[in-house]
Amino acid sequence: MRRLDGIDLLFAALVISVSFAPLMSVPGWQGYGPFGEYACNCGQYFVRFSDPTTGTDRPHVFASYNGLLVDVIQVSDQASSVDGLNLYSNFTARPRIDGGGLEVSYSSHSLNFTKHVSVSNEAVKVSYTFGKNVTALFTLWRWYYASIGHFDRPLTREISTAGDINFTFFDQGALFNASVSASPRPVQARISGIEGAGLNKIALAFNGTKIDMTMTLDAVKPVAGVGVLDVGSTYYAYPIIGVGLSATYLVIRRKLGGRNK
Amino acid sequence: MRAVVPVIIGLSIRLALAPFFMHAWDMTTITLATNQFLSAMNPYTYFAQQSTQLAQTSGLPLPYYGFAYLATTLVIYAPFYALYTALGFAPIPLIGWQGQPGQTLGLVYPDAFYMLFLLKLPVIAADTIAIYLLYRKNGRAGWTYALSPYVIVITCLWGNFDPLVGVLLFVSYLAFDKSKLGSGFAFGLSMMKIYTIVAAPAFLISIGRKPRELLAFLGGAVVANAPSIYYIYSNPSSFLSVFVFQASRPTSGLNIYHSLLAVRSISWELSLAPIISGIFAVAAGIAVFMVWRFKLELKESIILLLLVYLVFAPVANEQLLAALVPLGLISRNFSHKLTIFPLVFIAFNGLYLYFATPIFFGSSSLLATFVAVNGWWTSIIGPYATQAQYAIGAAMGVACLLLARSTFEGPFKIRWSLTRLEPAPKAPLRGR
Repeated sequence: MRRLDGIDLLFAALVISVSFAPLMSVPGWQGYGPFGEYACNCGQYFVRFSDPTTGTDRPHVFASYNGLLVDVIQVSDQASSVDGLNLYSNFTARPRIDGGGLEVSYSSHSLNFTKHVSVSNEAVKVSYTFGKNVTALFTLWRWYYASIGHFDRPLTREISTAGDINFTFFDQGALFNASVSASPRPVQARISGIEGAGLNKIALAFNGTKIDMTMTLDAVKPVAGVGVLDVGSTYYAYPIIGVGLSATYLVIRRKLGGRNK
Repeated sequence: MRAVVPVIIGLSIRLALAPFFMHAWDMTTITLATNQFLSAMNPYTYFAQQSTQLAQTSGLPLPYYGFAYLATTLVIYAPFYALYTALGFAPIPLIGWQGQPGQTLGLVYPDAFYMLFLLKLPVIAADTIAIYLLYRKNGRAGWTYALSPYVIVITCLWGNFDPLVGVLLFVSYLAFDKSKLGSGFAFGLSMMKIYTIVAAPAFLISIGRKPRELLAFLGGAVVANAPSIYYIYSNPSSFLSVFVFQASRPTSGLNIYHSLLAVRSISWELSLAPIISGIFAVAAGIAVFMVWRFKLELKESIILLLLVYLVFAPVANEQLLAALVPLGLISRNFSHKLTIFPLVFIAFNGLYLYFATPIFFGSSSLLATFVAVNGWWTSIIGPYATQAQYAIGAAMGVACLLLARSTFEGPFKIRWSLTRLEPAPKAPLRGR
């Protein structure tokens, strides 16, 4: 065995320090990715807004639960339209970080409007502002809802638009209760799903010049006796890997040094 | 004569696979840039324009990952692309990809089979030369290169030209004692991917204080880069944008910095870029000093500097290791087992981009199968992909540094058990 030198120790320190980076939360909206994705690590919620190539996850709402991220709900541009124009196919969308939120400008040959996504500790609010009265259809996906309102079977049906739309889902060994409130009141709300899998879609139709949808996680009820460790949702794996590899490096260096003597 | 057997086997494998697979992004980058080159358009101007457009569209300081290599690349690919178009095939057989940033791959013409076959020929030819030259030096090294799964993936399944860069570095090393001009020319060609410039001090230190030999080497390198000099002269700002891109791009690839991607903030990553570049500069400076101080053999010096690049440089993509393999196979401070890391890393990427194949776009049912398999695999690896890639990247960094340090301390062979580490004799250095 031999003593480690400065290069060994500096390298181990570098690997360990870089491995802790994912634990460092950069607050507010941040942009990343090859084409421009955005994400907001905002208290209870983590919200992602996908790049223009995707068309789904615009935004995608996650909630923090026991240090893990739980998929709550997402707005799909691919299955949403305004005055018959599909948001993904017929519009060019340009997101910008604007104050405390994300402002997305949609433009087409005949219509321009904005979508504003803001996140607070209580809720995620998606607001659409049009320059005129429009007919809009917005679709909210999840794979899968345990129930929407009083329904849990994946049949296509209309549900009441009076009051909030409540839904539940299972994740990380717990049952979550969440809701969507809309203003103005939707003219129609339709739910549907996949036979054998579950409900996965809420489609809300509106008439108006300004439309707000607010998504809120209301309650969590653990149902599994033992918490499920989901490595994919936790950032602690990075420092564990970094420390482990640094230790491995140092051990090998010491052993090699011993054999060199 | 016995070299014919590995050459034929290696060549056959590569030719058989070449038409059917591609890294959609990288192959279309080459296709588009070569098309622009032969149409008298400036690919560097296009690169600068696309970077500006991407920044405007996204509202973020995102780099555009287009053609950011030296112009010798275009000269090498041009005859093969010219033959492809002369045969009457569609100039750009992939619709909705690199030519239209922000769009997913939408349509692949059957012409893509021919494009892939023809455009991969220069790299396959380089592989063939490498097998032959390696076999003549060491039969086992020749066979290893001929059958290397990693080299085959990079050359044939992805279609990157890093193996060509590796062969040029190898030729530069072989020619060094016989002709400094020829060695410099091959090294200059290898700089088509700019990262090989980190190996330049190894050559310059080996030449030492011999002005005529130094001049011949540098002259060869300059002549090899005449096409780039033309572009510098014709539009310096757009050509410079490539260097700005390469010098300031955020961390990515197979390295110890992969965990930074999990922070998901381009502005934060870019703010760290100068620090990481500084770390790399210090590490490279120390390595160059060691090469000079210990008067290392040329081939070990080149491998050492490129290993340091793999460990500390901000960007070390999966294909980069291919540039080390030919020379590495005859160097004591390299192990072919390193190639396992990028091969496993590749598996944690999405199939659509990284193994998009024209074959699957041949019919709607095949495409549906491809999309389903892609979705299935992504759903399995998706939650763990970044962590797994970080583990693989950091492990490769550790292995590369162990190999780099073995340059001064005797051979280190990667084994999968600590108790079986190879005893290391004193390093056969030329002098101190």
